Amino acid sequence: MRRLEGRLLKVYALLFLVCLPFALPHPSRRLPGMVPILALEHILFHPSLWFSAVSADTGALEDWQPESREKRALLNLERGLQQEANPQASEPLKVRRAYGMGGGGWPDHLLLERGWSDEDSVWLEGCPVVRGQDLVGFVHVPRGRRERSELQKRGLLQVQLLNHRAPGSKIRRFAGMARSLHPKARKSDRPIRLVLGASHPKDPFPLHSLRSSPEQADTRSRGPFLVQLMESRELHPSLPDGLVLGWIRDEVYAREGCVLSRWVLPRWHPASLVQVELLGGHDKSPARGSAGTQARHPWPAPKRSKARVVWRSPGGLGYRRYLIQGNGLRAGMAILDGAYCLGRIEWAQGGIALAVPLSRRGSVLPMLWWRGPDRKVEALVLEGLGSNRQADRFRLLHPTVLDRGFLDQGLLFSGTMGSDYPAGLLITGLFRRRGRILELEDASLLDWPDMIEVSHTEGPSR
Amino acid sequence: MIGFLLRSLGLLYLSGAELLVVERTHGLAPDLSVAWVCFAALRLQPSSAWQILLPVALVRTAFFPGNLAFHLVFLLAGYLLLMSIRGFIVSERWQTQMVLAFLMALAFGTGRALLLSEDFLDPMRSSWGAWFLTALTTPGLILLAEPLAGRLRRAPTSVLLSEELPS
Repeated sequence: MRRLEGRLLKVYALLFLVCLPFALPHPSRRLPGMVPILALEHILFHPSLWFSAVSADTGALEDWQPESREKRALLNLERGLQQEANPQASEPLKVRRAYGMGGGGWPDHLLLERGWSDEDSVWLEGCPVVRGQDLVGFVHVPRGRRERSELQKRGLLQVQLLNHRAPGSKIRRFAGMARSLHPKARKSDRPIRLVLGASHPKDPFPLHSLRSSPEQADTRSRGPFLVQLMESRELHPSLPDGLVLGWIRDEVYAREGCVLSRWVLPRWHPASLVQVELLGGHDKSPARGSAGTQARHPWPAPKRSKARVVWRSPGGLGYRRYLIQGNGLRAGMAILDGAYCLGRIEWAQGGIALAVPLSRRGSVLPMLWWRGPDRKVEALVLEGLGSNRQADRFRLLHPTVLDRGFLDQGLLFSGTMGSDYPAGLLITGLFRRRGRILELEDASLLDWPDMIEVSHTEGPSR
Repeated sequence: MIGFLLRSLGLLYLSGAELLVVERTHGLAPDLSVAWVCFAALRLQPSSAWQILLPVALVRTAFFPGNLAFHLVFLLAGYLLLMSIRGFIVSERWQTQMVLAFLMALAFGTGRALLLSEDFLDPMRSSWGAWFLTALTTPGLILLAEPLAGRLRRAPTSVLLSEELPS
């Protein structure tokens, strides 16, 4: 018996070692298969949930309309996004979500909201996708019949981004030319010519310079260098030159200034994209007029249904959780209070769900910043740092370079993360930035009302 | 199995009570998980310890930040440490239990702060006061847990009690 007890201690030690890699790097990431157990625990703890079907006072809200102030804010966002559109592009398209893992650890695919047929696929395949003047990627029509019909059924178009590396096939290469935007730079200065390709997911930046001339150009003191697409018959004969690829980032020896490797950082982050445009196919795509109509109402208010907050985690602590009850709850849905987005659903099971604030530690969120005076819209990617009694805290992941006056005023809106978390939801107008730390100070974000709403889409989550 | 389920249910409601205390005292609530680890390591055989540690980890996963692996790692670390030193201390003495509970509460609070919180504070906002309270209450909680443990296998005490003396 004593030997058995001794062996059990070894089993405990082994279990400890097995759990360590899951516990230390990602202590908050939910383990697979845990949702039913967690839901059961909450049901046991909150007996009122046993009668949820009887007592649920929830339902769809059909006639929600934003107030005039909120309507104005949404209109401003809409106009700001229209300003960004590339005038040569054929049609603006909404981004559903970014996914995958490509060069630099960034997502390497986008899903766009656009129906297409097999006939369209002929001209859609390889069609360049841009965001304003920036080249983002290329439309990819899957070869598998099942995958194609699945995308067609859902009305989605797949885009391979510039940092995509298809296993077993050649990396797509681009010819680029980089010029300095330094105030003392002259037009006669020799540009840097580059051949670029997608980098490895573990590399620091999404695009890698395969060749550059001159190799040892000093890009640090004379920078920043903006890389634009160059005409190339061999690499990309159909692409117009001048499209922006990104900024040069060099790894150099600190003393000698010798360039070890050269990278390119795009001006956009895949997770932050909410609207892109197709370049080309003017004659085959829907008429510009109808695209314009679509662009005037790019962010219709999402359908919503009511939900009830059943339990709140104790106030004043360094974390917040809300147990909510409602119909058709799904993980990833946005929690709304009027036009404002309060948080997201972390897991859902059988009509109950655990909702977390946007600032949940470890969450990565796209947001849109309407700058205010110049009416431009900037896309941000933030990482949640948790909340204290005064504010929700985030770290800015994108953009990497912050100009003067960045996030001094304006409004914050949600970016897109699937059909259940649409772009254009108001986050707040009260925020403060300290370096790369952003604090949202709106009291309503910290104290959720008893009845809330969830963004609602028919059918399965996408 | 039924015993395990009932014990888990009991732990669930005890954790609910802990949450209520946390809510009302703001950072001065004793860390119940420390008391459970002390009880499992000092009073139970290893074959029965999992019946305490697993429900505690599951309950904390549901109501506190951190996933199941995170809570299991903390509980197992505390348990294995106590088991390895149990032979060298008189674990029945309340003073020993208080010192162990204080050190463990300190380690748990700091670990949570390092891994789960950005501003070097435990998400539970536990402070020196909470760690002292944990130390003060743990011997009493171990005594209270004895009758709750039911048919779990008890560890032999280091100071032999009269019923444990060889006849």
